[in-house]
Amino acid sequence: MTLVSDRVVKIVPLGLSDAGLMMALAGELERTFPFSYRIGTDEKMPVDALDGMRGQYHATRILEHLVASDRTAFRILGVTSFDIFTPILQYIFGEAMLGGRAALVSTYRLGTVPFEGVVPCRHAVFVDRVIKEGIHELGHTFGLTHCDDHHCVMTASLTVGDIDEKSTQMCYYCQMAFKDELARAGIAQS
Amino acid sequence: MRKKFRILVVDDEFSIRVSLGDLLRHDGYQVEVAESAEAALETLKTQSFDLMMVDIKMPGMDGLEMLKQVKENEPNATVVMMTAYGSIDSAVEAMKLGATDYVVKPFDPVRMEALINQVYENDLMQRERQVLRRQVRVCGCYGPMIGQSPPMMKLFELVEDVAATDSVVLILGESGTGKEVLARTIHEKSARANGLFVGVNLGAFTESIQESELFGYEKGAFTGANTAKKGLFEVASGGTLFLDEVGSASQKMQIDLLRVLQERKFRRVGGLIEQEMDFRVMAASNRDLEESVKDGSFRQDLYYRLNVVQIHIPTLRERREDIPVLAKHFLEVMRVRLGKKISTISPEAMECLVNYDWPGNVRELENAIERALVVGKSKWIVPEDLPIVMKQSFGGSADESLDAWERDYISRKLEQYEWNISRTAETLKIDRGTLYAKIKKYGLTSGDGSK
Repeated sequence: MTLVSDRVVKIVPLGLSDAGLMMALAGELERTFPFSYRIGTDEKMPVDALDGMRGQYHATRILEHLVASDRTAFRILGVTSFDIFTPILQYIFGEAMLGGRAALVSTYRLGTVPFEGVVPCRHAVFVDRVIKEGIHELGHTFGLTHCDDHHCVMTASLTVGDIDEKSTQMCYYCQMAFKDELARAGIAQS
Repeated sequence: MRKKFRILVVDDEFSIRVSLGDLLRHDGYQVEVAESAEAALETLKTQSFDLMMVDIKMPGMDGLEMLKQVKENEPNATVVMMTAYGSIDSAVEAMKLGATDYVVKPFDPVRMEALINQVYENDLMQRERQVLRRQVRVCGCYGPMIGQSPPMMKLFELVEDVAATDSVVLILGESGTGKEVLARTIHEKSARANGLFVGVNLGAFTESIQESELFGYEKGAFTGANTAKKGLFEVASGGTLFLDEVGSASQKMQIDLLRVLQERKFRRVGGLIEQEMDFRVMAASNRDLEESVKDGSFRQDLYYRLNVVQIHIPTLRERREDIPVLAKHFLEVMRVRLGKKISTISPEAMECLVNYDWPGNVRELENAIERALVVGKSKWIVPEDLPIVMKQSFGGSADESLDAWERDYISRKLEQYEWNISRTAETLKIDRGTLYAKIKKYGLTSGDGSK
């Protein structure tokens, strides 16, 4: 895919200092979404997003914070090591504004072996999951909804096992929808 | 597909409305939200939903009262109640009032996904049942077989008798007459209905594949057989094996089939263990198998083994009176499948359908209706929506079609007046000599064979 270099996607680490992970994520995102990537410096989690009762951060508030923090970036992807939630669900791996500018991935629950509770998985598996969830959440910002194809990166993942089953690729139809969205937004690939 | 599934979220809490709404939209559903039961009931006056997710505790009218009112208006409405920890009693009350299910907030994502999928699948099933009920109402149906004409009524009676036995059945009929549908119907009505109906088209396989598909094989039986595989004889155990296009079976396959039918035992390719045959055999052919026996391409002994009960399915042109009911049935099924609003067939188009000779039989009719729905621009199917050959049969622009029409018309009049030549000629406003000439030209014969 041809690069659209004048559109910058900013990756914002939130309470997460892992330069290697951010580089790997940016590299893989570029293969799917042909934009320029800038990795920001590690930022603190917004205090008002913390729900003391649940001990989790409110994902929607973090997204609002990300949007307000940078008015120029084409898209902003936050990556946090903290546990996040939306009020209706007990936990989530990520959240995005459907057709909006901001997306968020939490690595908090991505580092364990499926069905083994707290047993840590191999680092390569963990990185793979972060990449898939990053692509997935960023995909939502281009209006893509969940896909029924279980190998497509846009399929919904409720467990880490689900994430492991899907690929890092979008299926043919999601790719078409993404291209349509670019055309609708008047973004020409040079 | 899911984009047509509409969900109404009713919750007084803003964050719940937003997060649940977003979650469902991410899954591709169409979502509306309401901040109170009153607002939701107002919305329901103008819109309908496939699923309502309603919070139980709300200021003003609570979720239980809303559930009651919704159920009064629409008893089949699907309503899932949402509740917080500690208000399980209300959830039980909601179930008594007819709620489909209840969920405790915040939801476990896995449970949430399962719940929505279940509601979605149930909704699909309900819609399918509705279509089925509509079919039964508008059609003279016998299971999946449709028709009310005398030859079909006779066929249905025969099926009832045959289904009660375990005899081998040979189904003969032109392409597209519904041989497999008939075989399935017999299977569904038989004592083997709980077993599998396994269909195999012998015309579609080469000889070696026919053998390995039917008999299965052991590991190492031939190059590439890296693992053992069950054949269709084993898969069909307890059920019915349907051998379609049996006339296409190779000479070797015919011998193999004969052996199984005679000995009621078989072995996998490369295997030593003999297995008992525990399936009913039905076979079908669009060829005249008697002719094939005569010319030596089909074994006589196998023909006798298969020809225990022979059922001949009439062609569509032999039961023209069923064409309207069949056409309406396909229209009903296809318009739901294709999401089209066309719900009737114009009298002119129906005349085209009834007069056409249907060499491809019911399958061709089905395709013609589908095509008409796809290309149709008006509120009903018109002759312009039909393939050109059918319009010719109506318009009579082709000599062949005109002849076919005349032949059919005279034949029907003759049947109507029980082959009384004088009365038929009088009705047709032609003299007896002309009528005799037409009978000869078209080779017409009465039911008992006399001219």
